[in-house]
Formats: sequence, structure tokens, C-alpha cells
Amino acid sequence: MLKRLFKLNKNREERVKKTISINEELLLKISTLNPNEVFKELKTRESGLSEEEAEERLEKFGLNEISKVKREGFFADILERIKSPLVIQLIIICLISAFLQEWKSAFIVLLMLLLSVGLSYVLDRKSNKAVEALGKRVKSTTYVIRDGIEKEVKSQKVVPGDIVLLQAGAIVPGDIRIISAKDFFVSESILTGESMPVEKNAQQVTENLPLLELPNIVFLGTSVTSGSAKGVVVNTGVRTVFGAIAEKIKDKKEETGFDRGIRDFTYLMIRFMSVMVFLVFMIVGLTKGNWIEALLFGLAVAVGLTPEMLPMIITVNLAKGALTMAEKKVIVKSLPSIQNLGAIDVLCTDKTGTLTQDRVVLERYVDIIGNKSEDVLQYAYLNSYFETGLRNLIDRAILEHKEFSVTGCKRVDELPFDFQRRRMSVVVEYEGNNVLICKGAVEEIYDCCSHYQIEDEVFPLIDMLKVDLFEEVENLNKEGFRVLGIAYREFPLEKKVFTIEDEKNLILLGYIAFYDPPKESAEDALKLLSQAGVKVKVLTGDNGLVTKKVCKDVGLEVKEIITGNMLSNFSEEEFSSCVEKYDVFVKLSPSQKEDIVRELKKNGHIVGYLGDGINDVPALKAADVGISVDTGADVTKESADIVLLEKSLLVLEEGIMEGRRIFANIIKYIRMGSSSNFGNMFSVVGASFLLPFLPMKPIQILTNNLLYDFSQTGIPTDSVDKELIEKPLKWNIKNIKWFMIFMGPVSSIFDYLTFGLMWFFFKCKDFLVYGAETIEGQYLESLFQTGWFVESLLTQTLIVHIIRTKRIPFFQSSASLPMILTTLIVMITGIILPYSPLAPYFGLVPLPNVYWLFIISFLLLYFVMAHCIKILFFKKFGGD
Amino acid sequence: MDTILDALQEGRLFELPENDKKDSLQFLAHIIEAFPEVPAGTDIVGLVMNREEMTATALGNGWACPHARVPFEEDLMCVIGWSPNGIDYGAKDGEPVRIVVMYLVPSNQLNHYLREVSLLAKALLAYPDTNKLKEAKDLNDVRNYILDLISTTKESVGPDARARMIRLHTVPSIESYLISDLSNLIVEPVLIVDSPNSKPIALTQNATLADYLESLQNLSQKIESEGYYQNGGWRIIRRSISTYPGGRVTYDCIAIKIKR
Repeated sequence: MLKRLFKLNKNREERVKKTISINEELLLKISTLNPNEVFKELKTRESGLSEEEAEERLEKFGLNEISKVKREGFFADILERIKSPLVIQLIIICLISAFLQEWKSAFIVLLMLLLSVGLSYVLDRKSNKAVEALGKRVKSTTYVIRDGIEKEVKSQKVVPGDIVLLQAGAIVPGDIRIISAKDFFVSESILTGESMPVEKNAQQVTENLPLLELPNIVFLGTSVTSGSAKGVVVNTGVRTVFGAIAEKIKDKKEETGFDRGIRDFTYLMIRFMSVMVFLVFMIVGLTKGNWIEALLFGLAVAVGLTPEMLPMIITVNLAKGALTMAEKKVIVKSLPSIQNLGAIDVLCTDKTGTLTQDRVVLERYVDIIGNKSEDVLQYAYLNSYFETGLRNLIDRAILEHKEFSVTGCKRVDELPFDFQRRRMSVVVEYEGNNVLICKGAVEEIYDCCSHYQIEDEVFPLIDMLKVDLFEEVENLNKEGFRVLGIAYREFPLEKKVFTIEDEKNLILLGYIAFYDPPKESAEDALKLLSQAGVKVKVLTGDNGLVTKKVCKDVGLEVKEIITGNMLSNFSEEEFSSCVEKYDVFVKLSPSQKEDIVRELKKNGHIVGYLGDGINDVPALKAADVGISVDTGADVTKESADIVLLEKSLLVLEEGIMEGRRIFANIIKYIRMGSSSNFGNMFSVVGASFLLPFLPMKPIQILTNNLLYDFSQTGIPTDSVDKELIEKPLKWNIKNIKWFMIFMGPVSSIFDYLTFGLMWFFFKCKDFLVYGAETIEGQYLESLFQTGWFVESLLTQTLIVHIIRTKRIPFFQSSASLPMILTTLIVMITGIILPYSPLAPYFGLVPLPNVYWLFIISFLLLYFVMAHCIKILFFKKFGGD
Repeated sequence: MDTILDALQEGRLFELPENDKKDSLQFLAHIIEAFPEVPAGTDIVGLVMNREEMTATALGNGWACPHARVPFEEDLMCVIGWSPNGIDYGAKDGEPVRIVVMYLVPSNQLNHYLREVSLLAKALLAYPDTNKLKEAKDLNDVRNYILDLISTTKESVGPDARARMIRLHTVPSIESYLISDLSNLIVEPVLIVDSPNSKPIALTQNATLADYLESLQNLSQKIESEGYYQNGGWRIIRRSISTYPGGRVTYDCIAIKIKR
């Protein structure tokens, strides 16, 4: 199996590789060329394509779009729903009944069909609409140069060869080779999971670098955080790196634990039903000689033995859950996922944007020995404040940290950032001096410094001390911060023009450290998840130090950090035990995230995945339930099952609990349906064989079922005992089978008691004397059938209250009001029906008063017995 | 250089038995390990060697300052080793190292250590009698040499400068102004006209505001890029932008201030 999985993954990777390999090669090649060669290679020029060329290329390469999941139309949707074997069975029975002109039966079955398919369609559609409303896809535009003129075009009309202008806030409209750039930073977190913006430049690449690390290429879907650039579009649409990942969305969503559970249960019931129906058909046919009647009876028994309302019960349950979640600002895109959410025992989560806020915050400002320093903050503030042009994230973080009045300071000059120096300076006039304040990468700042400052004393920075001072920077790095150095130098007021040459002999003042802070709710949410028995694993593309810091901040214990590199060197066995044992995985590629999720699933876990980036898409799809946040990429939201609209993660735990409540309620129906059906099987087979007439008319069986089904519509509203949802709930088909075998015969015992009561006490055995043709004979047949109809309905309806809790029903745990009402209504209907004017229509006759005394005592006995056996069962088999 | 004087006073000047760097460092590190202030089990040898691996701690002029940074709080302390023949220490000036001052740097003494070593480096440059150390015959000569070095440079050696820092005042955060009375709020509509090669013009009825805005250098850039500008007690918020031929742009803004 493992081999097959790995092979499958490899196949998929190969497939993806194939689709992007040519495009990937082109990107790698383009990155090594100078701008003129790039223009030549892409058959374009600095003044851009002409409109005609752009048209031609649009035709050749198609619209610049990535694949999207298409919503199904009405008929496709309905077809999908009636594919369920339970529904197909109802359709067949309905058709046969109609063919035999048994209109009453056909009508009742049709009613069941409408209830089941119609309700699930309406509710499903409603929730889908909410999701579509959420997908507020904005049609973005891009500035391109065509015919030498700058113009705004729709991003989907951008073609390879277009010259594109990018500035802060823009979404990169293709895979683009930068040909000129100024202070250009791009956030690739959506693609790589890296939280800090990446610097991009226009220089030719001379060394061998991985695709995503090419400094002169920006990728479709990433966003410009600061600066501006001009670039040539190399690839668009599905030929981009982003497009290749988005292609994965087209793959069909994998079968989840819930789907598997429902499927297994359905087939289990259908197998039982098929055997039974054939047996009953043969018995009735052979003993009574009427094969048409045998067929109709068999079909009615088939309806009676299958949990035909399962799809409806599930949908109503899930839709109710989805509605509850919507109130908590959680959009449930596919209904079954809410149940899966309750079943997850492992939640894998990305870091950036999910556990963290995906923004840059100034956290520390320290002098060279690590003490908090207001001077460092103020100099950093002045540097960012007097910087002209677009400010990057770092500058904004500094300015937002604290506001100072710069009265008394005047900007004199500026030495802008560039990629060789990796630093920038401003010159400020203050009290008769010009002060050059420089901020940049620590290594570059060190190179410019000849002195350092402690408190107000300035000392020479001898080489030997640089190592000692750098230890402080390393400490900050180890804590997961991104660190910049701050240095300064004073010049006489007369000096008015400054150059890069003046950035030397600086005084090292200290450091500023930034990080992406965790979401406020993350720690509490993780604690609650752990209490709910859900293990959290962090799967990120970011580096280990940053991840460790975030984990520490959100209260996740980090035993050991496993890197993507380590994983790729593991054998299959090592990989399997590693994903099980460790909780923090860093520097992962999208396919490694997916592999981890698959491996956990293979190890028997129900896995949830929380992610917001494009790099999370494969894992989201592989997980049993994929969760995204509203700030995530469109493509990510599209492949997720659940979208959190609010930043708070606390809602996750609530969702899990809601999912468990739903599961617990679905299980109630399944347990009830399976056990009473199994019991009925004994009763029907025995009665068909022993009695000279049918134990219940087909129309009675169907009516009995319809009433019983109605009584179950209260289940979705039912309350759930706390102990039932304390830990992850999983499908356990064996447990259901055993429950059926334990509980089924209990109802059979009372069925046979009723048979005896009707046959002997109420003298239905006299039917043998009168025969089927006489009025007396027909009355006795109807009396028997009515007796069983009522008993069967009452016991079946009552058992839901016993099965719904592990405690003593009514005394220690009570059902919800709607549940009590629906069961009460059905029981009263069952009791009244034989006395109503409708009775003859269903072949029912009034029951003698003494019958009720017996039935009440049967019900009491049944209640006690079923409860005791339930306790025994839960003790032996547990409650999953 | 008080720590060196303390070491001399307390007799922590030793003749190094070997001319080998590693042996010498181990010798001195073991002495530090024996200090009563150092918790038992502290691996001073390991710490010193690790630091030395990163880069040699030679100061030049025959001196080296190896050290161990330790995580507890104590006074800065040192031991001094004298190597009569000099140690090949990998110093930048190529001189063999004859004086090894090994520091124990507790976590609260990093600034003290940096000052001490910086001043020592300056003193070594300032001390005129460079041959005195080479000529030392015994520990007494070495002690005299060190004392002489410290006393002759004491007056002249100090920090290169005293920093005179720019001082900014914190703008109280907006939350601290409780706008209990809205009549304190000044709201002025303002139109900023920006065109290439000329200074932006602010059109507003409030002359002070107009003068202030026109005196700013980067107003329109900030309004353009961030949508607002805040300083001088005013917050200028952009409402809309209109572009005109010739690169001219008008920013329709609103200026808000709290009267104090």
C-alpha cells in the first residue's frame, strides 16, 4: 500500500513536472540572460509588444487564467445525489410499484424519495451559494507597455512578452523576469510559506539556483510589498508555477473517512437487505402461492430494512451544523466536511497566516549588548520617516511601533537602498550637525562601522570584538527574529551632498528585530484542541528558527524540528514513524506537506489541514478536511472544505465540537436503523414462514416506515451528552455491526411476544378456521397486522431515546424538545390511526382495549431490557 | 582596565609553562575553573576554545584576550599568563603573543568587558615602549610593564567620543486623547495640487494649514502611497485622486486636528 501511495505521488509529481518542465526550463534560462537577450528570446522589445502582437499571443497562449473548480449544474447535482444505492433502491421500488399499479405504495415511496433527495439538494445548494458569495474574486488589472505607451489591461489579457510595470500592492500577473527594479520586495508567502518579503532585482543569475530562489524572477500570484519594477512576462496562466499547482485542484477530491464510513454502512445494510428480501420473497411466494403479493411484500420489506432516510438525515444534520458554523463566521463548503471536522484526531497546520498574522511587527530595539534602547528605536524611526518614495513593510512596522515628533530634524539627503549594499541611509540635520543614519542587513552594517557605542561612549570596533558583538545578533536570529543593524555618523553642517562613500566609519548603535506575530487566539485555540484530543502538527515552508519561535509563542512544545531535507533522505519506514512521532516540520515543499498528510491518513488518522497559501493546496486536498482562512489565496479557498472568515482560531475548536455533535446524531440514526432493521429481519422471516397470511401488508410496512422516518427528523436537533464528544469520533463499522447483532434481537423478542399475543390471546389463530375469504378471517388478519403495526412503530420510536445516550434515558439525559415532540407525534399517530377514518385505507382495524395494557407492559419491559443490553454493549465494545 | 589591576593585585599573573596556544589557554582556563565564583562543572576550557575557533582573540603588540562568556551573574574577572618566548597566536600583526589576559565574562558584564578590551587595545597603541615586554625577564618585569602601561595611558586613553544623540519626543498615542468634546475637533477640507517640477500647492481656507502643508517636502508622495499624512498635529486623509494631463494630480483631502 505504502509503495502504491509513493508511486501515486511520484506519478502525480511527474505529471506536474511534465506540464511545467518546459516552462520551468524557460524561466531558468531567461534568468541567466541580460535584458537584451531576454527581449530577443521572448521576441519582444523594451517599448513592449504592439496591440496586434498581443492579440496574436493571446490567441496562441490563451487567457492568463488558472484552472478553477467548476460548480455542477442542476442535473449533474441531482444525478450525483441519486447515485447513492439507497436512493437507487427507492427509485426501483417506486417504479416496480407503479408498474404493478400499486399507486399507494408508489406514492409513499415517492414521498420518501422527495424527502430524501429534495431536502438534501435544497440545503446543499443554500450552503454552496453562501460560498460563492464568499469567493469575491476581484478582476485585477495590470499596467503594461504596448506600442511604447503605458496602459492598464485586465490581468487575464496579459501575454508572454508583455512589458509589465509592478508596484507596491500589485499582484504579479505572470511569471516575470525583472529588467529593472527599485527597492523591490515581493511577498511569496502564498507560494512558499516564507513570511518575510523577498528582495528581487534585475541582475543576471550566474549560479545554479532552484527556481523559486531566482532573484530576478517573480511568480504569478505573489504580491509586491514595496518598491517598483519593470519586467517581461515569460509565462502566463497554467504555464506558470502557480498555474501548475492550481491544476491539482482539478484532481477529484479524495474519499474521506466520512464517505468511507457511510459507504461501508450502506453496503452492509444493502447486503443484509438483499439476502432478506430474496428469502422473504421465496418464503411468501412458496407458502402463500401469490408471487405478485410476494414481490410487493418483498419490496416493502426492502424499504423497511434499509435506512433509506440516511442521506436525508445526514444532510439535514450537516446543514444544521453548517448553519450553526455560519453564525460563527465559518463557511462550510462541502457539508460532509463538518462531520470530518469532528472526526479529526490530527490537525496539520501551516504557520504563516494561520498561526501567525502574516505581517511584520517591530518587536525589539536593542543596543549592541542586547539591552532595550530608545536611541536605536528613534534612529530607526528617523531613517524610515525621512525615507522618500514607497516604504516597505519594515519601514511601516518601525513607524507604526511608536510615533515620534521629528521637530528639530530636517532631511538633508538620502542614499537609497540597493541590492549590492543591502542598506539605506538618510541624512538628518539636527542641532548644528548632519547625522547620517544607516539601516540595513547586519553584515553590511558591520562592514561600514569603525566604532561602536555603549550607552553614550564610543569605542573603536576592533576586529576581535566583531565576533563577540555578533553573538547578540545570533541570539536574536535564534529567537526567530529578522534582524537589521542601525549605525550612524555625524558630519559638519557644511556638507550638503552625500554619496555611498560616506557610509563608512559609522558608529554601530544597535539592532532592530522583527517578526510575524502569532494570532492572539492561536494559543487558546491550540490548548482547546489538545483538550479535545486533537494533536496539532505544524507543516511549514518557512525556516526552523522562525517556526520554533512561533511554536513557543503559541504554546506548542517543540521536541525536535524535522526539515524537508531530512524527510527526503528517509526510507519509507523512517518517514512513516517520523510523521507520527514529531510535530514540527519545516522547509517543506508543497508535495512534502501532501505526503505527510497522506502518510498520517494511511496510519489511520483522520487528518485536518489548515492552510492559506498556494503551497498548501495539495495538502488541503489530500486531507480529510481542508480548512482555509479568508485571507488565503482564492485557489486555496477553492480547494478547502471549510473557510474561516474571522481571524480567530477559537472557532476551529467549536467547529470540531459541532462536527462531533453531528456525528453523534448521525450515529444515533444509524444504530437505531440498523438494530431495529436487524430485529425486524428475524420477525419478518419467522412471521412470513409461520403465518398463513402476511404479518403486515406492504402499504402498512411502508406507512410504518414513513412515520418512523418522520420521527427521526428530530434527530439533528437533539442534544448530545458531553462524554460522547470528548474525543475524536471515527467511523467504526464493526462497532455498528455488533450493536446491530446485540440490540436487534431485543426488538424481535417483543415482536414475537406480540405475535403470540395476537395469535393466541386475541384468537387470530381462528383465521385458520374461517379462511382468508371470509369477513371474520379478513378481520383477524387485519387485527394481527394492526397489532404488530402498532407495537413495531412504538418500540422502534421508543428505542431512539434509549440509544441516544449512555446514561439512563429521561432520568439522566433527555432528548431535545423537537426530538421528544416528533417521537410523541408519531407514537400518538400510531395509536390513533387504527381508530381513525383512514384506518380502512391502510387495512387497519381498531384494537381491543386490553391490547394496550399488554403493549404498555411490553414497552416498559423493552425499555429496561434494551437499556441493560446497551450498558453491557458499551462496556464491552466502547462507544465509538 | 581595573580588572587587570585586580588580577595583578590578587596574584593572578602566571608564567605559562608551554609556548603552545592550546596548552596555554587550557592552563589559564583551568585556573578560572578553580575560582570559587565559578559553579562546579562549568566548562571554561570548552567555552574559551569554541570562541577561539571563531576568530583569534589577539589584540596585537604581543597581547591576546581570550574569554569565556558564562550565563551567570558575577564580576568581570581575569587571569594573566606570560609566555617568555611568545606564542604563535595567529595575530594580525604577526607578533608572537606574550601576554594572554583570559577573561571570565558573566552575562551582566558584557559591556564592562567590551569597554575593558577596547581601552586595552587603545592603550597598547598609545604605549610608546613597545620593546619593554620583549625584554621582560621574569614575572616581576611583566608586572611592572603592565602597571606602567596602565598608568601611562590611563589619562590619555578613554572612549573615542561621547555620543550626543538626537532626541525625539514621543507623540502621545491617539487613544490618550479622549475626544469628549467634538467642538475641539478642527476639520478642514484641503485640495493638494501636485505637478512635476514645482512644489505642491495646498488649497484650503486655513492659512496656517496651507503654509504648513506647502512647507513639507514629501507630502504628496506620502498621500499618494499611504493615503494619509500625519505630523505637526494634523492628520491629512486622502479622499480621492484626480489626474490631469502633464502629470498633474490633485488630491482631495480632509485635514483633522484636535484643538488644545
